[in-house]
Amino acid sequence: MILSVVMPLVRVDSFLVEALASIQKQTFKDFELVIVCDSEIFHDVSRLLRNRGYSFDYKVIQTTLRGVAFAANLGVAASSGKYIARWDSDDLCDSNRFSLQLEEFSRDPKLGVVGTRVVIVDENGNPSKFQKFKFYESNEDIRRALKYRQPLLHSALMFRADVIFRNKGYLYGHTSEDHELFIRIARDQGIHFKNLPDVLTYYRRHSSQLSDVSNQKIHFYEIAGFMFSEFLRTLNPLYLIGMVVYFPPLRNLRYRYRAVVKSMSTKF
Amino acid sequence: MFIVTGCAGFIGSTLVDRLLQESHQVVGVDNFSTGQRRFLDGALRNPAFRLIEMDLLDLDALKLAFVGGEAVFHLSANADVRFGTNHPRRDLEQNTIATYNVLEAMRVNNIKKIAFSSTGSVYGESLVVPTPEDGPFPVQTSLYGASKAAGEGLISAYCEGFGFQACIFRFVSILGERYTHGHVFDFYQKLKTDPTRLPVLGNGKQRKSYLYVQDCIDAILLAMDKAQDKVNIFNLGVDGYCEVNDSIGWICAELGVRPSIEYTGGDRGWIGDNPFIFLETKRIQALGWNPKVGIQEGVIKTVKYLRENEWVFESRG
Repeated sequence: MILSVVMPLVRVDSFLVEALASIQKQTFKDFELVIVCDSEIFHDVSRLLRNRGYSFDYKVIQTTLRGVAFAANLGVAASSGKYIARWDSDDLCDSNRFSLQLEEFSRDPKLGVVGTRVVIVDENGNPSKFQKFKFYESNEDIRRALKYRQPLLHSALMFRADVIFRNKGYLYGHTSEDHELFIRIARDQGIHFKNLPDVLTYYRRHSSQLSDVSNQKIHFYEIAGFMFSEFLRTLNPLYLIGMVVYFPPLRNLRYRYRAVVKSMSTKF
Repeated sequence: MFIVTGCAGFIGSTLVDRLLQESHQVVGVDNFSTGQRRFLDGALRNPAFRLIEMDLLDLDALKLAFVGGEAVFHLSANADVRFGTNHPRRDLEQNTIATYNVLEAMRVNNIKKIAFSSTGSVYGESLVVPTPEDGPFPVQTSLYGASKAAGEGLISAYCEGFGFQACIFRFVSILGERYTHGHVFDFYQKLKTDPTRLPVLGNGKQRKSYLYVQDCIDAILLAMDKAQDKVNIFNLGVDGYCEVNDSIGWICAELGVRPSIEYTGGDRGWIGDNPFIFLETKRIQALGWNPKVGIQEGVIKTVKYLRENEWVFESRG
């Protein structure tokens, strides 16, 4: 098998049906979908996949243990592909996503992680007017940005499977397990990152997301912790900047400062 | 982006150069078992060309090599008709299984168009001459022809089953620049070693048809552009044939030698040698194609090429 598509799943809803239709339309057909889900929804997921008659191979793995990192590791361990793509059940992708990412891998053997340009969309699939996912294309730009922000969208990524295994998979994090993995992968300068310049992923923001408002604080504390830990390991001051950027109390101060500046500027 | 299998071969490398001249992006696949790296010298300097060195029997690697392709020119083959019975598995693997792998790699990459280099040998010893594409399909007389016929069958089935469109080309022998095997090669090599005598397989009266490589490429590209049916089968050859003895005369005259000819006897040179190959080419001509180079001119051009590029004898062992 060339490609495994790993999708940790927490609910069965209309977004999942749309995501599966988007997967079905991929022009590259040699892949398996590996869904990792809670035992409570296992039968619903299995029934959905069976009844819709998708042409791709799939595995549904049920687990009673919680945690995104655990589910992602379970999915990766069950994958047989040489490449592993992540796909969240909320997100949609262009039908050429797999094809273009694999083409990029075949062009440059140093590539370990390939993402795409991302557009953030709302619950109805319309592009957000307010939120943008900042685009970094080259290995150098992504590596630099990784020290103080998130330049890679997890659900838009395709990994060389050996890169994940060599780095021992996802280790920590409640919802920020991806960022922590990227930081560890980046320790090896021989592994390159790239985001493709085409918009191939549509990242949906909606109220029931795990990484939404209620969890944001934990998420940012975690990343600030990872940044600090990496600073101690490397003594690279950019990680300290990253820690400051992510540390929630300072982040709140920054937001308040911006709000004040904005209100002042609208007043005068 | 076009994909060319057997891109370092005689016809494959010539096709690659033509596609690049026409400003296409090309991915070439070859394992260099018989292909020549020097044939790709020009292509490798062109950023629109990407070479993937691999064996077509490695299906997973092939699926990755085909990512992003629009159409495939499947020219890779074991073209060694004469020694087929010495290694019976080779034709099956390199012609039939490799073709299956190419089709699978196309299917998973959603590539729907294929050009396939088949052979006039699929007609065996046809009772209809000139042999049309829809002539009676006789008993196969070579493992090479049988493996190509099987490849044609697989391609037709993929066209039906998965909506592919195919152009299948049944060639006579091809001559011209970058020619690396066949009777002109063998005769030249023997005369180079000993210009006073020339051993000839058979009685020299076998009647054969030949086509110049650039005419062959013209036909392939025209057919790929204009053919409309799901499965399009074309014979490719010139409107004529010559005896092996004629060819020997042209080669000797070009080299300025007068060897004594030593025939092994019989009306065919080896098991599976068809003593009379002449294909009807009205179908490809109806698309507007006509060969520009005749058999004699093709043989002479080939001898000139070999004389200027004697390195091919060493590289072919």
